[in-house]
Amino acid sequence: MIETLIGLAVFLLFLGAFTQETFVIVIVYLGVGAWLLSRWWTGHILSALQFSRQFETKVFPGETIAVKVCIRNRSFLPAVWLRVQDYYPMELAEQPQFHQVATLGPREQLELSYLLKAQKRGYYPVGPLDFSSGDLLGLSAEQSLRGAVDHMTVYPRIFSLTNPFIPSSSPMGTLRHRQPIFEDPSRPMGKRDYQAGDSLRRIDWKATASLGRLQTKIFEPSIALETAIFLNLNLDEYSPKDWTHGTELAICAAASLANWIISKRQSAGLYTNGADQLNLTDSAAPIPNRKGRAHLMRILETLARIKARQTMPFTQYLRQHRHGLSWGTTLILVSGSAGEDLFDEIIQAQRAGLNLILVLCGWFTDIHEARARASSLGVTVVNLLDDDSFKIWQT
Amino acid sequence: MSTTPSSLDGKAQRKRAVDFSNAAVILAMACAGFGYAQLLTRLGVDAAYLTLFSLLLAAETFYSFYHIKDIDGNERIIFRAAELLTIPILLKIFLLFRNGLDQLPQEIAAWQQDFFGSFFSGEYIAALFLFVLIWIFSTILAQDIEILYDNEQDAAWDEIGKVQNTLHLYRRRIAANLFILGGFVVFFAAAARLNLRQSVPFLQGQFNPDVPVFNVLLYFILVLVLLSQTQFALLRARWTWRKTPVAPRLPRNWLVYGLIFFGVLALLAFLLPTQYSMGLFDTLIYAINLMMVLVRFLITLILLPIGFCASLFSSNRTEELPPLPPASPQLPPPVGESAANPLWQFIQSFLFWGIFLAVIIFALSQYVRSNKALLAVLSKLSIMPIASKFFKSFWAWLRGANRTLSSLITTGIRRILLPSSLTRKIEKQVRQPGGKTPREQVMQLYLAFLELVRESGPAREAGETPYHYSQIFIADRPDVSAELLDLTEAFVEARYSQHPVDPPKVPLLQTIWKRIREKLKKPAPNQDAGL
Repeated sequence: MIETLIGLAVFLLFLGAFTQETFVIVIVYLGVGAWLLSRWWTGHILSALQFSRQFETKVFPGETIAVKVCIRNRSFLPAVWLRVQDYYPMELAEQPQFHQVATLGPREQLELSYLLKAQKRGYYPVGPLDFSSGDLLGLSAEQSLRGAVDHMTVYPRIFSLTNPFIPSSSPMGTLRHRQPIFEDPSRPMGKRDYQAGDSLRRIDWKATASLGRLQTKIFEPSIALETAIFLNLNLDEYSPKDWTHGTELAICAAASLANWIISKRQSAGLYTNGADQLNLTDSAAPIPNRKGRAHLMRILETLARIKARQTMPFTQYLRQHRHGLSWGTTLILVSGSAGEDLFDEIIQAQRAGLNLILVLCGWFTDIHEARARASSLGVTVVNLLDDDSFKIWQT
Repeated sequence: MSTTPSSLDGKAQRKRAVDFSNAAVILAMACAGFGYAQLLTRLGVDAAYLTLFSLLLAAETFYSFYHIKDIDGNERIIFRAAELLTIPILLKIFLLFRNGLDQLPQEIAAWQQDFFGSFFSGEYIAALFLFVLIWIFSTILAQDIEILYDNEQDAAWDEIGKVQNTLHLYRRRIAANLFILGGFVVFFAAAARLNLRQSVPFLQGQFNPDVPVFNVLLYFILVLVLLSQTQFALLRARWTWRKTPVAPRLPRNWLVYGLIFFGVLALLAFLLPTQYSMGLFDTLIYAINLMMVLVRFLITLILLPIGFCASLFSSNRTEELPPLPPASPQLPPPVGESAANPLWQFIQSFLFWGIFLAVIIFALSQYVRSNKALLAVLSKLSIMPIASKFFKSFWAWLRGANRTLSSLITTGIRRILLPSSLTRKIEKQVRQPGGKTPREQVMQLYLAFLELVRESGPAREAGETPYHYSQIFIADRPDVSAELLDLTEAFVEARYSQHPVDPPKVPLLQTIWKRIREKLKKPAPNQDAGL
């Protein structure tokens, strides 16, 4: 096309030269102007675009998210056509792709929307938003503009747990307990007749005066649960045929346990040797024991971003980080296997006054041997093979 | 404001696009007809009806194209034949009625005597030319537009590359046809305004430089609008293939914004100065003439040895030499003065040429940038190293020639300057004898003469007697024979005689010396001329 235009311009110039007619210059102006202004127009419109993408950046699996793309033409010239395309990973795709051809008048604003579906835990890029436009005659190549990339965090799945039977050696907490050794004097439960040996400090003098015989206060036993979840994401310690499923199950277990613990107003921390997507070169930063919803969200965000990899052995990681934990803390070890070295480390932890639960996720051949070994050490072992396995904590 | 995306409503939108494109072509044909009518009016034919005729003919052509689309082969040929006969006959009937019914019997009588001569009158043939032009272009464009929009639908199921290639092909064909017709439109307008009074005597008094040319501008605006619609068809095919939802108001916006854009562009083009293009045109003419001179010079160079060889066989040797090629044309005259402020004129001129050169440089740079692959291919061609070597050799030759020329000029200047300084020195000696005797003064004058001619020659050789030298010198410069003989006689007398030299002889010899000097400043007269 451009060659034809150039040919016409040359013809017109020669015709003008021979006939000395200046009106042919007007036609040349028209052609050259169409070419130059078309090029300029496209570039100008793209530089005058203002756009933003609005969506919920932190969601739970299964949620459908509406993404709103706001485009504003700040120019006094119209954008005759504008192809908008947004990119997102398949794990978020509600529809295969989002692309649309829009038209914007001078200083007009436009809202486009599409849906995403959070199908799987992860930390996903959304974007870049891509705009392309061209001139009316197709004389120049299309020009494009790229926006920034946003991110969406999809939290791991959380199973609602009823009682995960987490042991504790910390008395006088807020959790009711069956062992009378953990009676909490701030939680009076009832009264009974005095028995020989009862402490005088436990006699309820008002009730004694009222009944005319000695009454002793009965206190509810309670414990304080301080839990550190150690999540093993070293792929070498999972069955190779169960890398994806086993690690995801482990992350779900860690998330569900943290949720249960914090919902009981107890403190929980997270220690993992997996890689955080925000810092892939090193292990995720440990999250110390804290209470509260904000802390839970912090743990869940880390669990959303975490990735399994071939990294340092779990026992080594455990050895490095358990020394900072206070006496009586409960360690929940979530892993894909349990070898001799792990039991050696468990023994060391028990000697340091820590309580332990071992949660084995995925397919593990030596589960019986591991159970026997753990039983001899007084450690509870839970084996989670699939989603149904969580029922063990839901009864 | 929210736009609900929807897939293109193919049929309705395509029909609207086809209808609009057809209407644009019909209007463009009317513009062509208007320009042709202006040209015929210039030639003394009242042909204003041709504008309407072009419009109706183009509309009929488009109607016929869609009408016969579903008709089989033979019927189609019959329809076309009927169409091609009916329209010229209708045109003739219109012309007959326009001339008046009273002329009809005379016209029919004339047909009986000389049918072809009287039926195909000049005006009728001229109108038929436009009929053929409009009919051919309308038919081709109607077909191409239909195929373009028809192929667009294939994008839904066919390979996009194949569809795009087909669409590009038809778009280029439409553009080429429109631009060819545009060339005709510009030619009609230019010819209608051209001052041919000197070349064509019968056009005396019919020169009208104010023939309107708005139709040319309108034609090209319609062409641009039409081409923008074809570009939309191309994009629409791509979007259809990609299943990209398109805003429902895009087709309307495309058309509206396109019309506004090209309208504003036309207004700008109309308002921009054009008078400075005269300088551009003159420069172009000058460049063309220069090229023609070069071509003629090269042809002469090529033919020179052949001509020389041929002249050897010629019996008449006194034949005149072929005329020299004409001298290079004069530089274009400056742009005509006007009453406007010279500074403003300078600014306008500066702007015009600045924009013109900037556009050319920009276009070239864009072309080079967008054709890097082509340049790479060209650089790999075997002819490129040869061309490069040739250019380098040519450049070296030019530099060498420049050096030679410079040295020649320098030597020449030195030669010219040397005698003049010598002359001044001699003259000083002649004017200021400084107490010399008349004998010595006479001898000095002769020696000064010898000194003067030593460089320009022929110089006196050692052992040559004054008389012998005078004969040699006179053979070369006969114009100074009398003066030289007098001077030689005086010198011989002063040098070799015993008697004193008469003092009044000295001023006389000085006068002779001055005459010799003046004559020697001029080139020697052609000796052959006297033969």
